[in-house]
Amino acid sequence: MTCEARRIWGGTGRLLRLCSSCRGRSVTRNSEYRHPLFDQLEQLQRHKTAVAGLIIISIFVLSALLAPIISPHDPVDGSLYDQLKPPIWFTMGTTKHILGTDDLGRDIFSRIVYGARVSLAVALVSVGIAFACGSLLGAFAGYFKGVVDNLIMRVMDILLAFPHILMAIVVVAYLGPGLRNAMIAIGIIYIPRYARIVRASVMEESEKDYVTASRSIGARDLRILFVSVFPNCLAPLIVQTSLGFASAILDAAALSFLGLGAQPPTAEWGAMIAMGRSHILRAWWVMTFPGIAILLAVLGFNLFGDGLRDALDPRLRD
Amino acid sequence: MLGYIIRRCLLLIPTLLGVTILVFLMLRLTPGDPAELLLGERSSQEALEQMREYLGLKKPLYVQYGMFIGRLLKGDLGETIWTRQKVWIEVKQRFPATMELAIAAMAISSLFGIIFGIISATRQYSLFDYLSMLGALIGVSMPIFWLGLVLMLIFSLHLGLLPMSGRLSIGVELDPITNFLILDALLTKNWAALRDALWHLTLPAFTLSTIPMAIVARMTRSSMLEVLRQDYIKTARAKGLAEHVVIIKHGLRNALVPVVTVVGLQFGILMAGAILTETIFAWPGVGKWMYDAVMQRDYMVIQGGTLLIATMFVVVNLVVDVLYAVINPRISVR
Repeated sequence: MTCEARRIWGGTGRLLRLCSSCRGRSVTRNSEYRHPLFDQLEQLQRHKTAVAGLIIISIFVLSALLAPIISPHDPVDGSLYDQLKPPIWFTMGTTKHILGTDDLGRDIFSRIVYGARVSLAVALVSVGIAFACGSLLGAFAGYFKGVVDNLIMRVMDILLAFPHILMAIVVVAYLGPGLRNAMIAIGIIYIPRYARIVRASVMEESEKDYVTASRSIGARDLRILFVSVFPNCLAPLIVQTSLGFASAILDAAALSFLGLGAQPPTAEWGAMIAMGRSHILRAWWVMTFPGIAILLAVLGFNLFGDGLRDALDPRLRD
Repeated sequence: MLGYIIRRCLLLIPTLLGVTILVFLMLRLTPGDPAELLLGERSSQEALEQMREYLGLKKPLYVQYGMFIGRLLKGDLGETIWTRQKVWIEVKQRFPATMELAIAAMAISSLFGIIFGIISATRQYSLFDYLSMLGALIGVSMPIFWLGLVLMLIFSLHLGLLPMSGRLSIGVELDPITNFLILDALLTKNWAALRDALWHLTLPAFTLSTIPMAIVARMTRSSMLEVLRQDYIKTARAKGLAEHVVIIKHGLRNALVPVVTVVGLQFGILMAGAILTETIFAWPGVGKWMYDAVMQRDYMVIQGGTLLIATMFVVVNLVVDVLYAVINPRISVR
């Protein structure tokens, strides 16, 4: 059975109604038919990279959620007796501080655990901004074409004319440093990516028969666009969202490293590296471990995004 | 083809205009008096008044924008707050340093990226393939400001092999001609300075090349795999050609087409990455200059630097697009 819905990712009830070959054939009568989501999940499971990515992501999400329980110390209060203590496996290290302490005697492990909160929150908000604005603009551009398309995409071209971290730095320079502005800046610079992807897939989808069918039964443009077409364009968007999380974490850390993002005493990975920089010779661990945390978190989202792409979008598979 | 090139060049105009509008509006949309922002807080009343006149702040917005474009066309990017130098002159001094770094990083990343990509593709699913692709994945996930510090810690501070910062050691003499130190050293046959300059370039260039190298390696691998599946490769093998001839002459030449585009597009990433790399290694280029300007809230410099980098980025992208059409006659010129 060739079923349109098998191609459609994450088929909810609403999506299935679009599929002509399944319509009317109830799930119980045709035991061969499974919800397409199961196929997708099975696909995903076969991609070890995606699973590895998911495990890494889960660890960071858990440590963000359970930060007060996991972390042995307060991330902001330190004791000056414990300045620059090395990690546990050094003779000078203590069991009190697994990964050592920074120059204010704060526990590095606790700060990294709390840092996951900041990084994930920044990524969530900035990717959220980009996703919402980008897909709305892209959907309009792809569906209405012509002048609307030209106008929107030229503005996107202008945004793309700035190398992205530069744009973020400049936006923060004008808005003023701080986490909130960093999130806005990163959100703005990611808009074009989503807009381009959504535009391309909306264009492709809106040529299909089901759109003509919807139109012929009198559905209005906005209804066709958001109820029928848009859900079918989600697959590449979801891939991009995972990859977007990766680069948002990286960019947010870079901004904080430059002193433009999170301000002290917030426990943020990039800011921790910046602090550790002045003690690089005496206490290498202060800057090393937050960097590894960034690397792992970004790697997790990249692995997951790559795996998702392989599972959801076979056309892009190498 | 010529028509395509002309059309692409014409499309550049609205984009560049958009860039100037964006840069122009940013200052106007920032809360506070633009004149005060540009001159700093400790400026005199007269100077402020003069600046307001210069910017045309009392005139309508579109007239102000017209004046802004007029100044740009004359090459007037304003003065810096702290050194009272013309922004344009400072750019000219710092630009070669950034270009030198970017070109070095691009050379390193293309060379190693393509080599790793080819070996991975010819030995698909081998241990080498897995390791190099894992390496590439780690490469694209790397916070380069952290990598720079770690490399500095290992190679400069602990091993003492490479210098930590700057472009030349103190005491090394070099007559500036182009301000591209390596070129200058070659031109004046100053071998001591050449060695010193290369020595200083190594760490920052390697740091900056990490992400592009990973991207190029992945791209080369997938492009090579695609090409090696083609029938003409089978034909070449059937003819009895040596394997390296098949891979290099028949495979690589065709596989490189998309890779060239990717390499070109990395340029923008390099320019942006230069801000982080230059800051860490105290490399006196445009990136560090921009960073210092952001820290000192020197908006004239931010404006000038942004315009410069965005323009370069757009032009490079255009060149890449055109090159792509030239080297790949198969693509239909839309």
